[in-house]
Amino acid sequence: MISIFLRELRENLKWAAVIFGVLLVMVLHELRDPPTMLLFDLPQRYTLWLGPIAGLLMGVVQVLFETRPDNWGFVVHRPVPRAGIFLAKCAAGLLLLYAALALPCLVAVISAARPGRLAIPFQGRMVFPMLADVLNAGCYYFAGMVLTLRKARWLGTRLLPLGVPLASSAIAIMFIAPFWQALLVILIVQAIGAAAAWGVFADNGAAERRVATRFALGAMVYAGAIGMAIGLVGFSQGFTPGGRWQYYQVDRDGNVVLITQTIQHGERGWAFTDPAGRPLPQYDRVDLDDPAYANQFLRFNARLVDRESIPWPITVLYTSAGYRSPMPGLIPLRAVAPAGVRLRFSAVYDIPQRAIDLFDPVTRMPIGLVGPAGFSPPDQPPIERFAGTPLLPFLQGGSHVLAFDSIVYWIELDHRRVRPVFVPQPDDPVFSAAEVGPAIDSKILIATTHRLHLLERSGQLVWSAPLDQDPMRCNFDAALLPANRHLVLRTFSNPGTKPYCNVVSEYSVDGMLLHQVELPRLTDFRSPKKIETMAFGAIFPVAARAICPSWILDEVLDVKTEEFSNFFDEFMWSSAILCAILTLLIARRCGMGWSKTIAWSSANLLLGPAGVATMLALYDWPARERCVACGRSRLAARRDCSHCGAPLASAPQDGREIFEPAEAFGLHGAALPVA
Amino acid sequence: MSDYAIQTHHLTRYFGAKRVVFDLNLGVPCGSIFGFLGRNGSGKTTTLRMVLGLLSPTWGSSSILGHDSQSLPPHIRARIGYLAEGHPVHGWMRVRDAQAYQKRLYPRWNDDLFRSVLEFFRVDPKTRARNMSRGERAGLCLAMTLAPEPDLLILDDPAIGLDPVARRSLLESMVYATRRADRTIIFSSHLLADIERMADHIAVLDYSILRAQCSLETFRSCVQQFVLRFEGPPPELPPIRGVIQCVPRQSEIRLTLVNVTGQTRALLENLGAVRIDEIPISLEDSFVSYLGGTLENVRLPETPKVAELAGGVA
Amino acid sequence: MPVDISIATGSSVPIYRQIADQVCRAVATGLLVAGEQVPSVRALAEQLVLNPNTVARTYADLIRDGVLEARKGKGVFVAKRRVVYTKAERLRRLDSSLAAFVNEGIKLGFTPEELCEAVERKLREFEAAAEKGATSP
Repeated sequence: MISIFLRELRENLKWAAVIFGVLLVMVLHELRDPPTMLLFDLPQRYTLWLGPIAGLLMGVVQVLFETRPDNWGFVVHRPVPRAGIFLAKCAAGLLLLYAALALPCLVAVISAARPGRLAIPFQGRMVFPMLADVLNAGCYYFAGMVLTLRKARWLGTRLLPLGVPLASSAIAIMFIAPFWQALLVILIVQAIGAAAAWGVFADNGAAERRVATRFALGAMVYAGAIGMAIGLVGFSQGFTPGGRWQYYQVDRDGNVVLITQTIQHGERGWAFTDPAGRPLPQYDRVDLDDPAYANQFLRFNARLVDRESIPWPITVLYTSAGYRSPMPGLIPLRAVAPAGVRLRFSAVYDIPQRAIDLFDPVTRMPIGLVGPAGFSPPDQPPIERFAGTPLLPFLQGGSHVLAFDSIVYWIELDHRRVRPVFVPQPDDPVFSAAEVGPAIDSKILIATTHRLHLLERSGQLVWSAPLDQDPMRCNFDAALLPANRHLVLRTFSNPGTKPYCNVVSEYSVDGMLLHQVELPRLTDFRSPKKIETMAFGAIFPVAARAICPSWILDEVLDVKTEEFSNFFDEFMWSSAILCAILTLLIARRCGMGWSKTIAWSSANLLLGPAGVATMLALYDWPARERCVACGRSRLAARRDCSHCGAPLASAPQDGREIFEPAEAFGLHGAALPVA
Repeated sequence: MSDYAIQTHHLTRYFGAKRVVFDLNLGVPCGSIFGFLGRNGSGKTTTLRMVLGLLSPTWGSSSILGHDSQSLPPHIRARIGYLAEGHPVHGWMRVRDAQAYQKRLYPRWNDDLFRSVLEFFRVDPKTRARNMSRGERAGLCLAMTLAPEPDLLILDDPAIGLDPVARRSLLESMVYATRRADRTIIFSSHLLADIERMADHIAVLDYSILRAQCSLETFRSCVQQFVLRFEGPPPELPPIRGVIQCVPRQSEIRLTLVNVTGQTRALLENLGAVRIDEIPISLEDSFVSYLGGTLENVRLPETPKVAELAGGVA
Repeated sequence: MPVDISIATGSSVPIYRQIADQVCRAVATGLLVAGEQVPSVRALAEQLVLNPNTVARTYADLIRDGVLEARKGKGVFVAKRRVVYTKAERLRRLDSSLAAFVNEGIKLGFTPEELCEAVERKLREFEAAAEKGATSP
């Protein structure tokens, strides 16, 4: 086995060297003038796609020799168990792949860890994105092996096993927050890929014998089929004629306007009505593309959200809470001084240290720390640290308000300090705070569990009012009316919570609730959306429906299952039943045993059309011919006819056969002296 | 230990609807040189792959050196040398690399044999396999296959693409390999001269069906050629069992027959020929007629109804 | 071995027959004398590039016919000429050879006179070769 391992190593070294070289060049190029978030940018720009390509390349290249049956026979006919040959091959391939990808990344990490290279502190978790990408390449490695070795008739089915690593990459990258979970997903996918690759290697392209490997292969093909189906439906959506979008806006007087935007002949057009649908004549000539109308409506730049209420996967997708984002460890601060004031340092909130790190942007050396008690030089520990992690890191960057659940500060790094402005009641903690109003004259809006507070920058309370809606079910944004400094608050129900609510409230300068408008839900019952929903229903597996909540489909994938729920469900179930029947017919026609047929039919009831495609791709479907004994159609490759039981007749003897009983051997030459 | 190096029982293989090997019952005696014949696409390579456990049969079974083909333990594989069609070897290997690679894998290794075979084929030790000529590469592969001293040698069309000098070296290596009396060699070939020189026993596959399995001498003696001379143009022949070639001329018919019995002779005599002569036929012509054969102006005997066969088979 | 044996594939004469014929001819013309050693089975097989079994079978036939003899541990040698067959058997064998020869001749289109001339020519060649073989050391 060592022999085979060494041979594989020697054969594939050149490909690993190519990968290593390409990535090293890219890394060194970045290191000449590294961006601040180097260890997060590198994965995003390079290893995210280089890893998969490298893995695919290594996987394909390592089994290219074995695609020809005679070459495969040469490799496999060795006095080593076939599993040992495969193990040696994979060990060599993965070793080369990981080394080729990891070494340049190591160069980047070592460089970033040196003080003076990046204007941020070095944290251990910074290696996670690159580590994930390096390991992810292994998933593509096995997929590459599977798609090269597997005997497939069309290019489409040959590429299907790529579905699993693509899906796992997407999941591990976009949808998973903790690193260990991403690692787990990657390792599970590699195990599935390895099982499938082993099955395909052991039988040279036909996963005939082993059930476990056939299952793994099936999983890979199924993921690819589902991905392809979703892709097709999504792609066809691009061809829906005529776009129309509706949304609400609030004008500078506090009135709600319903805007209907249409695209016709490449031109955008708007219609402005009130929420009830009555047209508003003052907007007749308004063209929102014209910069003169840029400030027609209010900008709601103050967002108030309770972090606990954000559902997954919104946490990872939109609030940078995953391991691939620097924010779980570092929050870059941009708004640190009054507008127009220039500072000689850059600032970062260091979450493990619970302090603000200041860096010289030129030398990139740390200048010092700012805590609640003020500035400390870099070699001394701070006098006091902050209470914990700031609320809502993803909204912190552009805000002067630094909020914790027990205290709110105003950032004044031109004075190298943060000034406390608000301390809530102990039973009513802060869940969100934001800067509201124009940048020059902004105020602080603080939301606690039951109340809303508006403060001046100095900390003086302007007003405090009760908060009607439950922050666990809703999120808010706010703006100040320029004319009379009234606060306009918009309330939205969180994705996935019912009932739907969309409320616009206006508060006076004393904090009195002047009026509240409940806006009706905007639904789109046009036929393209209907058709898209039906199509999606047709391909959607029943099993997924049980697991996946509707709002993910609606919000994330933009399929209107809520509005057209009866259509979606009808199509889904009809498709499922059709698939089950089709499976039954195909399986019986191809002579599958009853237990297997029932298993597959039930599976495809739950798995949908992609399941049928998987089943077709997994088996060699035998041909049929006429049985000469009973005349009915029978399977070509079976010994006995399933109808009449007649065995396939031996070839007729026509007198031209020459057979000799084996006892009539020739001489072995043993009777003579053989020198 | 049985007397057979390889035995198959009703070995059958379909690829989709195509029947490539059908109901094969083959027995390769130990210690013999076994020639495997058949036209291109008759199923020889598929049979050898199934016997080696590289392909699983649709139905039937086979055993090699007493073990079931589909579950060969590694120590048995160490005793089987297999040279696949096309002389596969890793392109980057030089002689030294191939030697090191092979030596580490096998329990037995005969360096002298390795070098001798390389000398037979005049292999340059410095070239890589992908840059070698066909003959040199064949020599390298053969050396790699023979040096581990296998008990059973399986050569799938080893002479393909070789020039006459390399072919001669191949045969010399095969004779050299028989120095061990219990070594069995199976080789498939289209070169009838090589079969005539080397084979003790032969098997003939005719598009998935085994038509002959016997010693070379038996084959030679079973195929006979007759010339029937007539006055005037020759008549239509009735169906005669065992005809493989029939060439009518102006006033004679040249018949090649298999398994001539007294009945056949009587039938021939009743045709009204002026004279019937048996003419000697070379082994090469026997093979060609047997495998290819032209059948003009003769009807084959009625093949028995398959239904009768089906009813007769248990 | 002073005699070169060469075999041709693709001939209507089997290989073992070709070797046997050539050995017999060598013995008959005196190129191989009684008591001379012939190559072992393996040596001849490797020289002619043949299956050793074929050579072994040839030698076995020749030993049975009395042309060669095997001495244990030493090898295979040319046997002293012994009369093995009865006169009737010898005549029978001559007759079958003659039948083959005459058939071939007629088939090739020679007249009986031409055939007789050819026989006489051949016999004269044979005698000349035998004399030459007898006088050489």
